[in-house]
Amino acid sequence: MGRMLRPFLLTFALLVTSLQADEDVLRPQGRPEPLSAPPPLSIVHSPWALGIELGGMLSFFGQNITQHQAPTYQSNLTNGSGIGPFFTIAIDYTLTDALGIQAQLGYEQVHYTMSGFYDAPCETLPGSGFFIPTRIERSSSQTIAYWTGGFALRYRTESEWILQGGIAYHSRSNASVSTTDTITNGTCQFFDDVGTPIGQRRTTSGSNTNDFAADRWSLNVSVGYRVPLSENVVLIPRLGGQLFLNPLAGDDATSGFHPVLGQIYTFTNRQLHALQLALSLWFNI
Amino acid sequence: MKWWMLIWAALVLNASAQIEVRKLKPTVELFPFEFNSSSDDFCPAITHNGATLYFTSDRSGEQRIYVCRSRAGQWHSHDRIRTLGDAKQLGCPTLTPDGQTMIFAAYQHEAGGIGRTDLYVSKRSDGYWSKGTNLGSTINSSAWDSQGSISSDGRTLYFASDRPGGKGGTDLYRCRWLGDRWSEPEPLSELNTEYDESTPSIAPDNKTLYFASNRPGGLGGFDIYVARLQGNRFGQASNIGEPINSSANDISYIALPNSTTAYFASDRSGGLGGYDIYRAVPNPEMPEPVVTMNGTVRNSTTQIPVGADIIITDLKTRQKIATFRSDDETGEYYVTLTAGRTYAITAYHPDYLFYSEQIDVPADERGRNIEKNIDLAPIANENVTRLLVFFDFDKADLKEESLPELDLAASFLRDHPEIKVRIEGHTDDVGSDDYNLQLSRRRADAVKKYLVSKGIDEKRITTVGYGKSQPKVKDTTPEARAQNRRVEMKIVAK
Repeated sequence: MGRMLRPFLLTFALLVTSLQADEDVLRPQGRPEPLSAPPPLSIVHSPWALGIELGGMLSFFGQNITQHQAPTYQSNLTNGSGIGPFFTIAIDYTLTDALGIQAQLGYEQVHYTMSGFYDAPCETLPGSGFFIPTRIERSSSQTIAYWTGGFALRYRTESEWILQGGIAYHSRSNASVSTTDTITNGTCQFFDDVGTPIGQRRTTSGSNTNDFAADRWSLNVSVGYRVPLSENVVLIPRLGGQLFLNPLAGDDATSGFHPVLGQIYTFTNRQLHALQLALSLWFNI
Repeated sequence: MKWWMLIWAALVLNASAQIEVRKLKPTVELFPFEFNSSSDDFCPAITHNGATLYFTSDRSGEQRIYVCRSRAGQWHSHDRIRTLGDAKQLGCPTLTPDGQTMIFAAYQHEAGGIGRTDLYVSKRSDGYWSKGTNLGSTINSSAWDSQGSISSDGRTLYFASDRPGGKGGTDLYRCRWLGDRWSEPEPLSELNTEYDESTPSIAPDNKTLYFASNRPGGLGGFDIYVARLQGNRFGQASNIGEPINSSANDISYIALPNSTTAYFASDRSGGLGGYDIYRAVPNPEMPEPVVTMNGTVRNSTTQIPVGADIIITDLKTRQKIATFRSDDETGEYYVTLTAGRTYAITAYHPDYLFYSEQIDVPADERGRNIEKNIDLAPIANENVTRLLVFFDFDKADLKEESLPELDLAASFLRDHPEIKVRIEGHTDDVGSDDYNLQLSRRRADAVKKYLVSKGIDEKRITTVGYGKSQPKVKDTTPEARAQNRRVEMKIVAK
């Protein structure tokens, strides 16, 4: 994750550093802070600007696991994180010199992984009834795609910082889940449905969109810095946060129900929030 | 008288007064410059013939100098000047009237600085500006030195600096060319305040100074002020007023010679962003009209343009008024003169015979342009140049104003030791043949004597007097006679 974030952070730091005031041939102390409110985002006289944004979102997932019986391997999967891409197009309308309102449409891919170890009895041969204890690593990866739409209020400071706050609606498009179990000790193997050994790694995957809420709402806040590239084009590197108002998925008792043993565990409070790092280009229209 | 009659009379009088004021102060119209950008565009500088405009812009992210040229009254495509050397910031050029020397400011220039932002000089050669060289520690300080403005004779440099010892903020300074070096800068204490004074611009009359200041009492931010030289000091500065000044920052005001047009920069609302350059017509604070002279220097044989050094000398004071150069590519030159004086113009190029001529500029010719094309003769046998030498009536004693010309002739002969010359004396048609023959011979001998006194081998110089036998113009008018009274130097062996 750090390696993925480094180019964004480096770019942002370079942009901010290069824009610091320095002495020039007109001003001995460099460019001063503007005395009046800055001109609208739209450099020319039209109040409209079209923005295209591309970035990555760092998602943080967490859930509570209530154990009804002895702890199981699921108890290790309480949280996870991961990076997914997102893309947004937006229209900005300047209300005052500093304030503007934006309408946004986008597509985002939430991704996170969880992993943990558990001990499980391993049957040496299918149907042999002979079990030995084995340590297994479980890795679970979730990818959920959403179409998004939202509104934001944009505030531009005199020093060209852009502060934004708004609300967004996320409509689930599709989702995929992948689980991999890896035997880390012993000589046990996994077997397929017909009893053929398949080695010490077993992966199951599928698209089960119903595991996740179809509709989500988020409060979004961000801070960016405005870098004019030309008369009509502005670059804004932006760091933002998404605070989701409803869970990623509902409480889950199904997967923890055993037909013989009954309810072993339930998942509750399944939350996912995210940080966004993005570069956007704005064109005056 | 009834009360309403009094009010009516007052209204009529007031309206009349306003009409009168409008007559006296024509409305100034502002026109945005064609090449403004959303970044800062400022410090316009224009050659005195109005053909080339330089300005500073940070449209590339760094302050750089751009140039555009006038064609059919329109400014055409702008180019960034890339040959002045690399610097973190570079701009605010000022040009000698001929457009052949530029002084600009730069921060962290590759040529090295005395302090922070310094002033640098560049020469134009073969159509390109040379890499800037630092103007030196006499002018530049360890502080911020920028925004130079050079007088039309190239002999006074005004600039802004925040060096210690000023009245506060940035102040205006002036230094003079002493012939071989600049004088120590002196603060314009009569104009400086504890606030900022910046972007000085000396008009072509060398008397009217425009500058910007954020002193109290203005319309807001930096305003443009004008002050006029009275002796060695400037008189009281006055705010140039609306619409040139605004509640925003208004700076970098420049005036053109004998023109109603002025340029300035402002960050007022309604522009493209940052500082924009505007043209103001008419200039509400016109400088005094001046006499301008322009022309082209060419090879007399091939008519190819020649980039020659040109010296303008005040024949009365014998002071060099201006030293400049015609353009290497076009041969064009341009100079501003003060009316009411007599000048010598001398063009010099190592590959040609130098050329000198007397230029009379009567006092009533202010605002006039003199066109003077110069043909330089290549150094070849039989080519001749007229020496600008002066004698008292009926005498063969050289007058002092002849000496700069003869020094130049001596220098030319030293530079070309392979050349032998003949000094030829001529007179006008007044007087007898024999008298004029003797006088012309004695005058030619006087010239030879002076050249020999300057170290020229006498064997290289012969003399001859032609009297009135070879007039240049066959006429008896005073002008024709003046043309015919002459001493010429002819190459006889090379």
